[in-house]
Amino acid sequence: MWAKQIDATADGFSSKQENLLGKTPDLIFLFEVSDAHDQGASVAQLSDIFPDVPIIGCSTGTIIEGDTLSDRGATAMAIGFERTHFRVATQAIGGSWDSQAIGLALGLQLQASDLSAVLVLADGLHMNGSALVSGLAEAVGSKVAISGGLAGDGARFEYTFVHGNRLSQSKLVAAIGFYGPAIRIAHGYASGWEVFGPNRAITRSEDNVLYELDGKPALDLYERYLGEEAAGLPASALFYPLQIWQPDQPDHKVVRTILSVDHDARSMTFAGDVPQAWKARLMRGRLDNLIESATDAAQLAMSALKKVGASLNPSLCVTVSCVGRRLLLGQRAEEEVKGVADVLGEGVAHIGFYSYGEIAPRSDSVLCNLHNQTLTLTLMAEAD
Amino acid sequence: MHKRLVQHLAKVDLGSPGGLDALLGIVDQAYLEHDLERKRSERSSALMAEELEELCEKLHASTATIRLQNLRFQAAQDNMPQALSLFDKDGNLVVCNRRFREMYQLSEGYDPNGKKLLDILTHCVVHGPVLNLENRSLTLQHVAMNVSTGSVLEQVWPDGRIISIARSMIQDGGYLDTTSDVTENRKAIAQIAHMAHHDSLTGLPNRCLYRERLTDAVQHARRGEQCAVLYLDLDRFKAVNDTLGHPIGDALLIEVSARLKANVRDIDTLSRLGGDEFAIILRQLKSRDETHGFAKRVIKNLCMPYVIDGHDVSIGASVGIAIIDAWLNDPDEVMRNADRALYKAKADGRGVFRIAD
Repeated sequence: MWAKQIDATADGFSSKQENLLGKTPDLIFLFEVSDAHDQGASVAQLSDIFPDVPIIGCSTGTIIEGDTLSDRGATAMAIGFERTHFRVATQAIGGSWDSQAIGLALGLQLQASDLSAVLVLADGLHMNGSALVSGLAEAVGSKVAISGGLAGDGARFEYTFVHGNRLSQSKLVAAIGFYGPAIRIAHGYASGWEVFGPNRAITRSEDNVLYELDGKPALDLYERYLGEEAAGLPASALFYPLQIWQPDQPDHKVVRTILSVDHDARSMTFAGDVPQAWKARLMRGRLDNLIESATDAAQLAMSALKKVGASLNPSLCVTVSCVGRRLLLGQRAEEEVKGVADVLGEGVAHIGFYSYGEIAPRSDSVLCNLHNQTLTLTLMAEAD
Repeated sequence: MHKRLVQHLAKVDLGSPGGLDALLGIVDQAYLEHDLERKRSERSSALMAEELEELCEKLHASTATIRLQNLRFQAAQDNMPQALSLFDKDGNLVVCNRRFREMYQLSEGYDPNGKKLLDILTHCVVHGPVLNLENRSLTLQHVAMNVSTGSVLEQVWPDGRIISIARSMIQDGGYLDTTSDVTENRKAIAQIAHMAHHDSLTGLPNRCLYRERLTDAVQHARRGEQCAVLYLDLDRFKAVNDTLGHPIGDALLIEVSARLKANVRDIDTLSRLGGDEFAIILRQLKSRDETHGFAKRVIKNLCMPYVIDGHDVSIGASVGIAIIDAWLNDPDEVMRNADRALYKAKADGRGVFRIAD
């Protein structure tokens, strides 16, 4: 397996791609800063250069490339496999299909006895990520690791889109399945956020819409904590993610991040379910902790890869980090990306994006879930 | 040099035009973000402290309310006439009231909380004085009561008290025992039952009980037992009442009852049917003739003079006898026979007995 960054200029991807050494990729990952007016331009340019090569990717507010990040442009990674084949499946969001059903449909398209792993990218504004993952996992089985993320739009929360199977549009989910015994995939996951304040009860919610905490509008609580920064809702709510857990399973906590607010209904819509009667607690991030946790995630992923192939070095790392981290870290977001790149070392191609929801199994398990406010890594390599 | 400044310097070319401005821009942004982070941290910490303080106040208020409720609950428990003891799912006592300690006379220094019922009752048996070793079976009966279905046990304690113990299951798997001293209650019930079946003036069985006993006699007569009814009416009683007054009349009836009682056996039933009418059910007679002698003795005894409250009183008695034949199965018919015989005795000049045909 090999992976090489595809050069881009201010005008986009040029046809001159000398660093690929004449190789033709099997697959291209493309992440680009969302721009509704220019949507599809990058795909068109890449398709011109690499006709018939499948492109999968999504929008974001910030792209990750090596040890740097950028709030403009696009980044693309050319990937070639020697002993692994893959299949891309897409599913439009709409009609009467809910997120779980879409996940199930995608999973059924990809399902095969030699399916090893799935990477999924979904529209970030029209998808209940936890339901999507649940549907996918139901179809492909619990032994297939699922990772990926929800397309982002920075602090704007206005428009997200996904590329896959020659489509480039909003309200789309694309998933890629990797097949065969040679592919080796490992994951890392870290949060770095800390809980604070009292435990609260989710007293009114519906799927991923939260209405009340402790019998009072949840939005009131966020506005109180945000003060002047409440004007920046929904993005500013990312400074205070919500940790939630089932009361009788206090060890299985998940973090939820906000997608939108409804000032009239005093409700908040999250990227995943916020079940009624669960417990909740606000979180806040100290910048140093967040940056350190990114390094921890990379180290976890590297250790996990060693477990599935002691002599293997990763060929590619796909990093998906939460927009909430980007907003809180500001300038220092580069430090978390650099921390990851330092752990990966020279020779490992690194691409990624800031998302509205991260999908990855925990390092010690293939049971995957939707995470929020985390940084997740998917390391890929091929065994001999 | 601070590592962040090193990073910032790495991003700009200070030698190029505008390089310094670019560096200042980056550093300025860094300061701004740092200030924002500090403000957020301070604000969230202050709000968290406020929230925790509010919660703390609510907790104190709730604790005070619970304490007050507990005091009220304890007062209510302690003033219950029943002894109450609540055991958890492991059978350990979690709550008992003052009456429980009193009823089992638990010694001052003994704390039953956390102990099993058997241990508490064993303590009672060993230290007395309510229960003792000779009555250990009482404690074992109590301990063995069914929890799941709930049950009621009634015991007579060594001091004569009648104790009722009710057990009911509690949702968490424990159980609640309610122990009541029902001695007075049982006495009252017995008293009411006695009043319902006895004449309040003479204490003799009344018409209701007489009727039950007669029915019983009729059934036994059908199986071969010889039985008879003597229906008795006092002669000249009305005149006593009219001339000396009702109190004297009542006293006379009591004296008559006493004389009649002296004549009947335990197996017989002497009853006052009302006014100056009495009836005697004679059981296990050897022959019909036995009733003749009995009637004569009764008439003779009742004709003896009385001294009531200083007044000499003289009355007589007429008696109708009905033999309860084996083929008779209707107590009313027996009574009608006795009534006819009495009527005949009165018609024949009073002071005599007559036997129904």
